[in-house]
Amino acid sequence: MTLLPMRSIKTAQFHRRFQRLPPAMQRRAREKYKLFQSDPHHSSFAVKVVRATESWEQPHWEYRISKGYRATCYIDGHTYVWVFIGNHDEFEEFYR
Amino acid sequence: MFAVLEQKRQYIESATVALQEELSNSIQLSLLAVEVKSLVDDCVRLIDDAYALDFEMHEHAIDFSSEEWERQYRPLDSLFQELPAIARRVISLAEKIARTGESVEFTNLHAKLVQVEKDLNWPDDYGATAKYRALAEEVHRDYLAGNVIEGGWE
Repeated sequence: MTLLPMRSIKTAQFHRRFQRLPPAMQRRAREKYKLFQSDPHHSSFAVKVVRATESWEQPHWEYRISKGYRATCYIDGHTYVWVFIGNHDEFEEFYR
Repeated sequence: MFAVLEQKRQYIESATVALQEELSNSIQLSLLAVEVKSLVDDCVRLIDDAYALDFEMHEHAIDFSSEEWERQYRPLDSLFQELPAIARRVISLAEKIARTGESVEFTNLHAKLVQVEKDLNWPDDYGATAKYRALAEEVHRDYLAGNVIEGGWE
């Protein structure tokens, strides 16, 4: 059996949010994404499913970029669909 | 770098206890106020340094195996768990000094405390809201319609 490689896509909103990150955080996020490509389960991501989406067909996953920044996605087949990237206040504003 | 942070933490904790004792006996409140102001600044720097180390460790996470990174990060994670209590004790001391009429500014430390508490308590119940569900469905519709961008986070 051949495993298909996973691919990543992002929403336009995710892209805009990335561009608005402070330059130092953009650099950090780039490094964390490189790590994600090689080891998506690395302990530094502290990956967790968003509790209230656990029962959904496509639950959402939260990845730690640093203490104060997160990225979220869901998985559709062989695709990570990136939904959000930002800090705590932006996260609250985005989801609440 | 963590060893330096740990030294600073120990210094702040012992200085807080010492200054609390001095406050109950002190007749030289103006001198004490200067020391507490310095302690507030030290505490702000401790929090800033902890964030700086957190940033650095995440930025270089790719250089470590998952197990090694977790082992190295654990002490910093523990420090973050302790920071709110440390900051609250320093703020409490500053408040006591302020009540005597001496000027001690701790707004900055209070703002840092709020930030640390937020970052330690990321909500995990937001998915229960109708807005989140609607947002998730909207994002998925965009995805199905192809309104997305190929590639990683950038």
